[in-house]
Amino acid sequence: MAQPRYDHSVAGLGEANFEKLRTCKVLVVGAGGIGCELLKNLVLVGCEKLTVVDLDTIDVSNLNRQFLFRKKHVGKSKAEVAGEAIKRFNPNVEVEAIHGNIITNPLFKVDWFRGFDAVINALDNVDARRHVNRMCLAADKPLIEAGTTGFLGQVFCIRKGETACYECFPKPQRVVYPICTIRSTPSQPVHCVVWAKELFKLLFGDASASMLFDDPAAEGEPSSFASACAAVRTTSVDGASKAVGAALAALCDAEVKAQLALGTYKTAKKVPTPLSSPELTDGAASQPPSTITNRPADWDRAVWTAPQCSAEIAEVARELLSNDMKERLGSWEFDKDDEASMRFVAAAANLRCRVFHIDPLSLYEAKGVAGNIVPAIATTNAVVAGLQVLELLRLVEQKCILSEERTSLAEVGRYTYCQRFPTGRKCELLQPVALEGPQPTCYVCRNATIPVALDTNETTLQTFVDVVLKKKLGFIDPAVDKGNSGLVDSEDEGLARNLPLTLAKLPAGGVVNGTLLCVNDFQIDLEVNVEVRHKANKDFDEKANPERVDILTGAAAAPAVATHHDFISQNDENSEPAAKKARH
Amino acid sequence: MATFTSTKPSEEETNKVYDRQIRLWGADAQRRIQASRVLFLGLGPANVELCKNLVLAGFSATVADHRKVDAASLGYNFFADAESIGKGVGEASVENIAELNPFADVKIGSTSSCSDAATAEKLVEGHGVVIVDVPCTRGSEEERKLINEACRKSGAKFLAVRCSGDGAAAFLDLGAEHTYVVETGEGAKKTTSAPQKASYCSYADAVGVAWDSVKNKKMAQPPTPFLLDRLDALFADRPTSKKRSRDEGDFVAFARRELAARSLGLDDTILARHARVAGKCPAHIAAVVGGVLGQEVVKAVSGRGAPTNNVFAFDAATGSGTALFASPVERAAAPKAAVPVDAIEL
Ligand SMILES: [Zn+2]
Repeated sequence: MAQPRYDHSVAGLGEANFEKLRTCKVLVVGAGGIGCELLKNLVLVGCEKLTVVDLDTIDVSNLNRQFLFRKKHVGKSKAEVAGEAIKRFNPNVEVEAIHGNIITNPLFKVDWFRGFDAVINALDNVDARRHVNRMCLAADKPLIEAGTTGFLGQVFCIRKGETACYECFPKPQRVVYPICTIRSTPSQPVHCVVWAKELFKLLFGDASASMLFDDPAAEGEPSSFASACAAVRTTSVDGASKAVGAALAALCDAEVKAQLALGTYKTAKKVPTPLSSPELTDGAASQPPSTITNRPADWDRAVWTAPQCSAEIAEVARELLSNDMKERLGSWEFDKDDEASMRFVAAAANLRCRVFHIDPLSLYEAKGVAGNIVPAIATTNAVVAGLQVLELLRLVEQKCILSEERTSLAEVGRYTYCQRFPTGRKCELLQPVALEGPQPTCYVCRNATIPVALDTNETTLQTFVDVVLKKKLGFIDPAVDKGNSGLVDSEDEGLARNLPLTLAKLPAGGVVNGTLLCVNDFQIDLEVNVEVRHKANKDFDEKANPERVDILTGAAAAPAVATHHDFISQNDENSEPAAKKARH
Repeated sequence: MATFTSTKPSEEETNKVYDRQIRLWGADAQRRIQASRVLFLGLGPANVELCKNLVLAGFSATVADHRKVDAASLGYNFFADAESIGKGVGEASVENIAELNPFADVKIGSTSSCSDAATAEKLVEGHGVVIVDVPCTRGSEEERKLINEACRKSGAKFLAVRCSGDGAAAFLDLGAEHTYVVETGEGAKKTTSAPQKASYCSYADAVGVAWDSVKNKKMAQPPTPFLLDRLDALFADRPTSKKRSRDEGDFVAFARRELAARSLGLDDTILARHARVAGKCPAHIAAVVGGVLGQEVVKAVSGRGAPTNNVFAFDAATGSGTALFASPVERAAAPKAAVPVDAIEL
């Protein structure tokens, strides 16, 4: 007989199925918004064998929905704090909480995934979802996936050979903005925010990695702002206002005038207007909005004037140039949760907007854009996490798991949409539909060959590995063979010399139009065939596709969709600095 | 009575905690939420979830429950623990509810029953929203009608929800004249409509309509959870002489009779299962229902978006959650059909 605390579960499931649920080994990936709700549901219904993985730490902006966390937990591991909290909800539970990255931590091999009966995702980013999908396919474990954005959400199950996998359908790709849009022809606030982040990097971070950096060794005139910007970093705290004023005057006045004189905007629809240099230089010495005493609570919702922006940037410079911060000069990376870098980016983006006649943003708005902030609320997370557990119980009841038989998920699984308003002819707020089967074009679950078009005479093997295999196709440590000859293998040092060669010049006859490559990754137990097609660089639309690569099938074939969440140098929320890119 | 309030926080501090939701529903909606207090009558499975969701969002709360904590309730009430078995549900839970959100004020309310309009009005006073978790209160349909009338008089939004192991049904009454705006589009392209008005019927009117009328187009009969809720209400309120037991056979026979009298029918297996799981609501079903209804409360209080008018039914067997209309007056305009959208970059 089950304990009285499980009466509510046992009534519906019956003793036998409840016992299966109680001993079912469940992996929960993610202990954030959905994860907190999910873990609570699991321990209350009686799942006693849980493992939870999350690489994040707790931030104050999580507290409105991630209800296992309190203010005193800010900065601590989400997985660990959540694990402790749910043990209080049900002391019978054995929970293994792991603060780690599901993608890169070597502990999480395919065999490790085989140790679970079911995997439930509570993630907020494509990279980790894609990875867990592949691991579950390789380990042949059912995966219960869910996601939310604001009021909307969805829940569905995945199992090898029975249902479509996470990668069967195209996903929006991260948008990469062409450098010229950022440097010369911004047309949206987001372009100005990206520019502001690049300027932050130029002034306080790794300057040579900034899009605004001019290589002094390069031919041609250096831009008019290069020396003024370089001077900011070497100045003293006392000289900060003056140096910032001069740099901003160079960026927003002199440089704009110079470009106008060069005829850069002759054919442009919108012609920029230089800001007034005295306004910027005088502004830099005035009072910055963030230091006003008794400032109103919504000070960050107001759009700053140009002189206020200048003052704010000078204030940030004074902070970062001060003695106790000096060590970090040259290594600063933008972080939306770091107040100084956020104030800088908001102010600089505002000035940039003014030059290009784009409505400037407030600090609050700029933070949403720069930090890739997706609105999130407790209610939607509660709904999808509840539906995920409903699906788990179905897997047990319908004998999809923990049973001699194996009912196909194609028969019992569902794809459920959470809507904000009654939808469809049934007026549904929760709208279940049948699951799709595996898609024949899917290279992940159906071994479909992936056609890739690029310039085989210009693309190096290194670029092929980094951009096509790792970035676009999600490999972690790919080995590449052409027939019997190895081209790439991180274990084989001899092959490293291939990396700088262009594809056409590789040994064994080169990789040219029509070459079939076999790509293998032991870490994720995935092998796919890539068919290379030659397409000259000049035939790519550089604006729409600056990487000059077309993936012509399956999940990776999606056209780049520009959304405010996805753009250059932006990863998922909270993922800055870049080293933290892959989550969970 | 225990009250848990922290020192008044600065708006800047609350803006940080509520940032992700302010970005969704705006500063004005957030202010309305923070100025509103919800009365939770019965801290059953649905109200535990609703209470969590709404207190996190910034609502203040009054919780009232006449029961004592028992072991089975630990299967859904995560505000209580094994040490609190035997204590009053409100006393055992209030501290953990308050801890969810230091900016929200959480207190225990009166658990005395309402026998007339005056006591109901007193109970409702000071609350912008009243949510009755039906199986966890002593009240009959009559008492719910009294409480609803008091809400209509004071302008409070009223919800009654009954959650079981196989689904749930909820009634919403946002008043004879509920005003709201509709927002379409996102970001810079967001547009807000002129104020719209919706009229809700009373709880008495809603539960008084013919059961068969409560269905959407192309439905052969009303959704199962709605019918089960009505059967439960009748079964609970039947004369005491007949209330000897609640075994499976009793309920099935009773339900069959009541359905047949209305030319409706449900499978015996559904009825038999319901007899076993009525009043037994596992946490995840409560989570689904509490999430959907929490969102309806946010719509109602913020005046943004058309809230469901006036019944929500969730069927755990099919996973479908439906908006229904149970009212003696004609429905104003049919809801527009929409296709499912992938909300997220999955
Ligand atoms: Zn697939």
